[in-house]
Amino acid sequence: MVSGANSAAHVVIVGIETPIGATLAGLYQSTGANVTGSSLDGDMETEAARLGEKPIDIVIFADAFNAPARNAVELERSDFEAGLSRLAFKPLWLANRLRSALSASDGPGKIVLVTRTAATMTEPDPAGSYLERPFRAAAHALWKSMSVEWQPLGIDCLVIAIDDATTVNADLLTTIADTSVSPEGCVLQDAAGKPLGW
Amino acid sequence: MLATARDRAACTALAELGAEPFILDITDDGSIAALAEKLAGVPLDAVLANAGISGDQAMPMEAVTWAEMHGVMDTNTLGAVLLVAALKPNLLSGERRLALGMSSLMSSISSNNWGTQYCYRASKTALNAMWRSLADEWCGDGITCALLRPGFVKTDMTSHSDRGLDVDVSVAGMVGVIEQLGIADTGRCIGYDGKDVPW
Repeated sequence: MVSGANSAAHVVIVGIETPIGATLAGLYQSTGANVTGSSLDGDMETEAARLGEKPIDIVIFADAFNAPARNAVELERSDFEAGLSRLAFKPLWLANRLRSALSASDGPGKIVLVTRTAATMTEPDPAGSYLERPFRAAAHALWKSMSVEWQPLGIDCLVIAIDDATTVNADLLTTIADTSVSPEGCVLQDAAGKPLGW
Repeated sequence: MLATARDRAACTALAELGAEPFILDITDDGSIAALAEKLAGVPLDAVLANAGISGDQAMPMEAVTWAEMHGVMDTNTLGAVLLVAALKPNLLSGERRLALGMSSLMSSISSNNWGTQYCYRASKTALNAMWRSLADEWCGDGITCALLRPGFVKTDMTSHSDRGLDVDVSVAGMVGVIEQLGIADTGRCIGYDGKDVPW
């Protein structure tokens, strides 16, 4: 089992430059883990090849995305591209490229999608109503499918809602370490492991 | 009853059913704008964004491309919200003010315990989220934004599977749901059977 106490753990944090990513990196480094930073900004093929060179115990997608506020009648089709790419397509693509490296982990590999409670169906989010929320929700759907299909491969796919970097603490590392996905797939959790609604 | 299709042959078929047909491709912003212009000043009680594609249902997860995901989202999610937004003035001048999206059980994250059909699922989940946001924004305008689940129906999309519902059964169920809709239902996703679809 990969945990904060496992100093040999190799942890990849995508979006390490964000407040949540940086905080997670510091926490894992303080446990002695080997942390590799990553970003969705560059050439994805190159990044996937770099990250996939050695076994990975935990991958965390902690990327940030700030969508401009729009009313529905103000929307233009091109407005949607950035959120769809950044929040849904690129994480799915990179996750699939890292599957072999996760399977090579000594324990169950973990691949964590950090999301926001405001991206759920029950929490209104005026700021990201159309340009963020739908694509985070799409990513939730993709991660759920991945969690079902990868559970038999020994990879746990988790979705954890974190709204504020100040809530990122050792409890989150414990939640990531202790959560095992059932064959029915993952549930949306908060940082403490409490189940939330999709 | 106004109905749309992407080509003239389909419009002819719609006219034979008694609908007033219009050409519309919801992946084309110019086509949506042209429809809105033709319908300017026409009150509409309901707009149902029904167009949808399945994409490549057999595509493995690791093979999903940007073109595939974007293409499915473009029709199932983006086109739907852009269409109802373009026709908002018509809804505001209508009596019932119903903005309806065609969802699916495949949109339900909690019901998914078998994976597959990644882009289609994601597009319908995103549609649900779009409609939830529409419901929040348009509630003050008295517009009911609801999602419908047709069920697994014998259509081209399902290759007319024997396991599917007859179209008449699905449509009759959804019509029954639509007839009962009011502003208290805004933001719901309701099946042809009247049951809410879990998120």
